[in-house]
Amino acid sequence: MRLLSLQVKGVSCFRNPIKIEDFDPHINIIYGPNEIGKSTLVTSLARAFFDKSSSRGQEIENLRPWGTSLSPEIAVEFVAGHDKRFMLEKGFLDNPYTRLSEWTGLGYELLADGDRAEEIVRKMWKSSIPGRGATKIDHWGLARLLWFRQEKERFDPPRLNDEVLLNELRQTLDIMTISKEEEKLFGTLAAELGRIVTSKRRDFVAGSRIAELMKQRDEFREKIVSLEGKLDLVETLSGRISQLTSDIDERERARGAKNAKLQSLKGEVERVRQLRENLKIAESELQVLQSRQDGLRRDRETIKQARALIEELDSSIHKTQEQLAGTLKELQELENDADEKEKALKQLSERVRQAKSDLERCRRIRQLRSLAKELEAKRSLLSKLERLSSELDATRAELLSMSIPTEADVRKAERLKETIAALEAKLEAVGLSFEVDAHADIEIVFESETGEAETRSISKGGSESFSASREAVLSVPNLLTVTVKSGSGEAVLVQEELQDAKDELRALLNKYSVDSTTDMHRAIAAGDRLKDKEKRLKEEIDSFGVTGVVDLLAEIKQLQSRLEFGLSDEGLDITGLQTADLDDEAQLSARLDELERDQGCLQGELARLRDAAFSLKEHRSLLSSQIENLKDQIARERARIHDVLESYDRDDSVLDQQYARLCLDVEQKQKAIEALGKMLPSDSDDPEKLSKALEIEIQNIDKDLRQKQDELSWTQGQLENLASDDLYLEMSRAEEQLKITEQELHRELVKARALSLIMTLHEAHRQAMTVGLAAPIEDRVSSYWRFVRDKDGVRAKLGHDMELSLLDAGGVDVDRDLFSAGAREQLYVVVRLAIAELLSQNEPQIVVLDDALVFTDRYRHARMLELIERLSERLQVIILTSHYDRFDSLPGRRYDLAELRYRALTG
Amino acid sequence: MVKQAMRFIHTADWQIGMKAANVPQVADKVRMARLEVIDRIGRLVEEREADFVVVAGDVFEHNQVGRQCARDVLRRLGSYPVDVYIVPGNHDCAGAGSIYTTSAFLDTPSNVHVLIEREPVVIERPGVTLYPCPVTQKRTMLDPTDWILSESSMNTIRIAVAHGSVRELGIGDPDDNPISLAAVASKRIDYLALGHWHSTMMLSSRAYYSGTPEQTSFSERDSGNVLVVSIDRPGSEPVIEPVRVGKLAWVEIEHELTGPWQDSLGRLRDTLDCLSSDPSNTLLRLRLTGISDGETLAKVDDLLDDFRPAFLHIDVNKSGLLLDIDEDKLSEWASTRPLAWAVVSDLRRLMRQSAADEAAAAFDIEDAGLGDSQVDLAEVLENAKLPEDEDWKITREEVQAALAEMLKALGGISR
Repeated sequence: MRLLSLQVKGVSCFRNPIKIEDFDPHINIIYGPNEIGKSTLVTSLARAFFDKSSSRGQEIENLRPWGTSLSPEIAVEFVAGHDKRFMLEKGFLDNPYTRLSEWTGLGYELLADGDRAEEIVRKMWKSSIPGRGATKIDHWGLARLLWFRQEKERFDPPRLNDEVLLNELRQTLDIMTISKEEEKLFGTLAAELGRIVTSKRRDFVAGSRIAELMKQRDEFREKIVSLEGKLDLVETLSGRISQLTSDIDERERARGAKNAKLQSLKGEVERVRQLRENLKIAESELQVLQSRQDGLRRDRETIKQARALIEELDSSIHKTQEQLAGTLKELQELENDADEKEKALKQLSERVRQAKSDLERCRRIRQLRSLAKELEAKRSLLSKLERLSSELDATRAELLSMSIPTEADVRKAERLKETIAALEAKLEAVGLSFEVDAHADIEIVFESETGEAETRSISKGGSESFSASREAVLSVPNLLTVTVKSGSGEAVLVQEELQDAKDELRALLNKYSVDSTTDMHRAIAAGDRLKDKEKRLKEEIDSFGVTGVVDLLAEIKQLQSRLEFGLSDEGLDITGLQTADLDDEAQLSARLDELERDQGCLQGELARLRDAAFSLKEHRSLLSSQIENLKDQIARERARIHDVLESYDRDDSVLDQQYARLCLDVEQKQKAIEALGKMLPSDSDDPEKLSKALEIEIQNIDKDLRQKQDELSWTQGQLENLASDDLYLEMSRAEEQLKITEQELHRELVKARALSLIMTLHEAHRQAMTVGLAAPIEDRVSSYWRFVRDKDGVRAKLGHDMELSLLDAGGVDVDRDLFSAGAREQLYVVVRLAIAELLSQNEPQIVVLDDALVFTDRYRHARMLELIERLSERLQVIILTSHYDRFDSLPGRRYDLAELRYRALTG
Repeated sequence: MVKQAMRFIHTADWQIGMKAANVPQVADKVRMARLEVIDRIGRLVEEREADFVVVAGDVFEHNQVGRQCARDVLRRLGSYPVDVYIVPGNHDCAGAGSIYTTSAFLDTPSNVHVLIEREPVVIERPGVTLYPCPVTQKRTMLDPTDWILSESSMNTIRIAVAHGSVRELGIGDPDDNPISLAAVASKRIDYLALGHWHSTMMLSSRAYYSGTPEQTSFSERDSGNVLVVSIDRPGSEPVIEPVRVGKLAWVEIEHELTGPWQDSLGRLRDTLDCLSSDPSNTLLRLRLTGISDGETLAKVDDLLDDFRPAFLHIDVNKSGLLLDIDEDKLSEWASTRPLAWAVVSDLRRLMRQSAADEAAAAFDIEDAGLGDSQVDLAEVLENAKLPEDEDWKITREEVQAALAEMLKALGGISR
């Protein structure tokens, strides 16, 4: 197919008719600025070829120029199918029409109109129409792939798994195509299968017959299980009823037997009860007798014990009284001894006191003597210290008064001296230099330009040198005056510099009141010596360890004061202090110690005596108290005996007689009780116990029977409920229904599996057929891509679903997501060109590139253009661009859209 | 007819309330037929002037068939002019849960006697002593006739009624209430009325299985009968007359489809026409064999649909049929369409490989142009699995169904 011309009128920005004619069969470039209507031309072309003129909707409405009531009209001339020339005219909205005319050689003759015309055109493009509304790119058949629009899908890879395209490619490449009838057949089968299973065969479609049958089957199975359960339950209940009935019979028999036995035991029970009653009475009487017997026994015992106790107490009192007498005697002796010891202690204490006083006095006088000595030493120290301080002050004063040059100043003076020497040498070299040799003793006055006159005496045969920079006057008083002038400016400068140096040196020497640097050194040495002396004096003062004279004076005052007080206390003066007579302190101390030891011993003895006396006194009190207690006890025992005998006429014999009679009564009663006991049955034969046991057993049986009967009733009720349900018939019917369902399900599953098998085979074979298409597309895309990128090794690969991937030289997938926008648009244009080139083997194809390579760099842009030019031999390429210059290198026809619009506007 | 000898009806295995899962579509009708045969037996009693009826076990299919069912049976038996003696079998065994102990049997008609004890029952007129051997356990290795004592006196006709497997037959499990024929014979029993096996069977001149009065499945050879037993006097040889009382006919046939489809279908039609004089009471199981194309098969289905209303039930088994697509319309159409042809070719390959009960397809698949498949058939089968088809193996039936579906779809798009 090839475009010949395109005319639009009343379409968007093209209110006035605009015609682009004489399209080049190979390359056409439509250019213009943004918003000039380039993409509108593409849209117009699409609407003309693919949309029904009767279409409605916003997208069609958008064709109308804004603010007008114009109806869009588009006319396209093109060549298709073996060079047949056609004109397609289409109107939309208020004026819908479609006319397809064919060129006869003389003019266009109407071939078809309306739907028929649209159908013919759709066949050419292999396009389709939607149910309603405007077409989308997916309906555009081959144009979907061959037209690169200025839309967002430009960055999506072109979708190649399109049956229309694939069939067209198959036809072109003479590969087996899939006929419409096959599509229809398999479409029918697919639809049939789609009503049964979901896509990918994951589930049966809800509401499908199979799903319903499976649900029914499961329901029947559940019902059968439930009914089987009930039938099992019936069997279980029946078994239980049988068991219970048997148990109940057995229990009732047992009950009867026990009841009979119980009846037979009744008489025996009564007899034994009477016996027990009598026994109880006898035992009660015996208890009373024994109680009385115990009472009498206790009384007798009481009296006997009391008498024995009284005897014992008397003996104790006697012993205690003897002890008391001994204690009193011992106590008296101790007290006498203690009195004597106390007197001796008093005397000894007085002697100790005296010895202490003597010792203390001796010590105090010694202390005072030490104090005086110390005071004297301090005074001597003070005198020495004052002398040294004075000397130190003098040395410091001398140092302060000296002007000692600093090392820096000394170095500066030395440098100045060197500078002066150098300048003088220089001046001598550049300035005026005089050598005066005296032939007699003369006095010469030298005066330079500095104005300073210098008089020197030169002895006969001696010589002197003089220098000046510019002018000098040498004069011998009263003899001659020689004035010399120099023209050297340098000498003047040197002279000035020299003078400055001399002045500076002079100032430095004057600062320290010396005449020379040697003097400076001397002054430094003197200063050093004074510093050494200062240091030595200070060290000597510090060695006394005294913080200062003032502090020393304070110490001396304090010592003085203490000495005075001490002397006053002793009643001595300083002379008396030295002459006082002192005993030997050691002897005094020894004596004091001895006296104190004696005192200690005596005190100890006295304390012991007093403690012993105290103990004896306590013992005495204790013994007296014991004697009193014993006497009280004897009195109480006597009173007890009196109380007991009160009941027996105060006569022991009465008590004894009563006791003997009571013992006899007790014996007789015990014998009677023994006889009764022998008449009673043993525990195990006790009829009452046996009866009770039987009654309990009968009660248990009754309880068990009630339970079993209750259970039997309940079980029978349950069975009755279940048996009323015709369970077996219900289960039979459920099994039969299940069988019917399973049979139908089997048939449906066979059908479903058959359909699934057909469609799976169909998909597998279709894919196999598609694979044959992949190679030529891969080859072309690989070749074009390598050319554009100027890089070897990359290869295109189409997957089983015709999805495109790029493999590098190592066969690894290249991630297109990492491509730049430029690379992506190049790749997708390359793919379109490859498809177009393949399809063009049958007939030329129209490729539209609307602003296709905006992100591409200059180099690759050139490569793309080269490729387009090469491929345009069999393709008609329509390029729309805002960048005219970028397509300079391409041959073909160019259309200035702005110019065309202008012309259309101005007529 | 002048009645001279003692005569009674021996029947058994009525299986009232039985399941009919082999013919589920007509199960209720089958169950009703079993109830109706009771009435026909009653009419036979009148015709033959029988003295009593003995039912040797399995009156009911199960002890839980339901009271309504039991009452229906009792009502029908109540209309008999003679006494009916029922002995429980293994399906309706006596003991706990027995149907005979339910409330339905509280109000039994006076002529119906359920013999659940092992003790002789004397029937004064006509001088018969029955020795019932009721089954009390579904499974036991004990002989239910053991309790019968030998008797030397000849003043009564001794009839034993038992239900189980006769040992001497050599069929049945050891715990299937085994009955020793020899032992019974040694006890001077004039006649042993047996129940359990459903076909009428003579074991000796004095021992018979009456069989079920209404056939219960396709596999029974001679059922649908009762026995009219006549014995002159104690010790004499019984005279046995089998009488057909069953209404339903269970017919199983095999038909081969061969030759042109018109002939083949014609023969099938003839077969069906002549099959039964009473198709409305005939249950037919038809097994088709042979080789047929899809169109013919469709016509077979149409033909069978024509006969279905006439028959009580028709069950068709096509597993023996082979589909031939050499001459098929589908093959002709697909031959010029590569994709369809590839699919059809693979289906034919699969036909050969499919698991089937029959031998491999008879047609030759080595035709030129077929060659090997372009796809991996194992993978295709794997991908074709439906939900819950983990263990699925393709069957010939499914492959044939696939071809049939393609043919049907082709028919649809051609219209």
